[in-house]
Amino acid sequence: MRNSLLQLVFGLLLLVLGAGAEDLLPRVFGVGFPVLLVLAQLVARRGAPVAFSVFAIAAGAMADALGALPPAASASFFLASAWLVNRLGFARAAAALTYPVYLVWLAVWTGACDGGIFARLLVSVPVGFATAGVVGVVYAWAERRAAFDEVG
Amino acid sequence: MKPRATGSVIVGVCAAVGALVLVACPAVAVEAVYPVEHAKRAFVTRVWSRVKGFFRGSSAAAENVRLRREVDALAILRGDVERLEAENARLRRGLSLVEKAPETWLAAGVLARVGGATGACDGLRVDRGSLAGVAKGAVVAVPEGLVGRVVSVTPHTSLVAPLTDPAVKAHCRVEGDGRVRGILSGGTEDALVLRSLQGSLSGASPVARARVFTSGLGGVFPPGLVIGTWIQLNTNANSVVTGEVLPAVEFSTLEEVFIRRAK
Repeated sequence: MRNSLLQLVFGLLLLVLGAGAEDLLPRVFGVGFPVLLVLAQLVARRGAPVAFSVFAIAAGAMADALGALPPAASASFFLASAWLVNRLGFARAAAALTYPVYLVWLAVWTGACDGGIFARLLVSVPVGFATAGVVGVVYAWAERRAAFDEVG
Repeated sequence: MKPRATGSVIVGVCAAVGALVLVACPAVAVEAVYPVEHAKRAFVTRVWSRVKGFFRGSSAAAENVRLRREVDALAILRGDVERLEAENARLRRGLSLVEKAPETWLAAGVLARVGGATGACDGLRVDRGSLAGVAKGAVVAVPEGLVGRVVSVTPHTSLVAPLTDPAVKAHCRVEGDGRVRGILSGGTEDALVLRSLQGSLSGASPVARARVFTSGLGGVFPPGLVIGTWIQLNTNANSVVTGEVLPAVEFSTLEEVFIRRAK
């Protein structure tokens, strides 16, 4: 029970801080840093199916709300990518690879398929990779500090 | 079932319900992140600006003196405006015209540019919401000109759709003899598009760099707010004529805006 509660609080903190970071970090050539997407994939790497699915939906809902995107546009993608990472198990590389797909996915949802999307796709690969690297290190540190398994 | 397992199930159900609430009610997510955004803005305005001021030294002091003089001059102008407003109201009463509801402009800081990680949508989130009296549809402007309108409100924040958003439409008139009018609808930060032009086809094409104002028709935007400067007429392959307008406001660099609300 205590372990689950800790995980819930940890998840909430991750969501709020991750969403805040994603919202406040500047964009590189119109492309933002996908902090929430990376977090959803990192949680999915080792989490239980129910836990990481709930986290992916919550993270997607946060991204939708903060980006004024259509409901469930990000939530559905985050859930699918979380399952993909859980099955294949390569969280950091997945962020770099799935971020361009996420861009196309959102462009289709919002009808913003203009010529600029190609430039953004090119930029999104290094941006996704950099985000995955930095967030991955911070996440691993925070997970060690939280030490869920030792609480019991 | 063991008590420990029951507890974990309860926590899991709470988390699932929380996730569903976030999906169904985006305002909850926006309000949850508001403290982080507000803290960043508070740091920039209260701490970082002082650090910068410390290093700027004498130039900051000179700017302070200049701004104090400007504030004094504006206070005198404000007195004149209040006197004219009172006279206007008295004359409207004398002519039995409907009195205008008193309104005021509320300053709001820009918290974030909306669009998520992908920049798919564009908009501004500002730090004034329904608790400050902001309502959906309120007009947003800066001294340089019109910015857009409020499209959604949470208790502490508002989402502003800029003029570049195709959903924001404003009836405009072009400076000159007032014959050229049209509906501003979408565009980019470099050029807004004026559609459904009236008057331009009958030889009343405006001169380059003429100013474009809101006309007040439609009742959404008050008349006389600056939108930008006229660039040129464009005709597409289907012979549809549109006007190109350079926006007066640089949307990507806004740090503070003013929201119109009832007094």
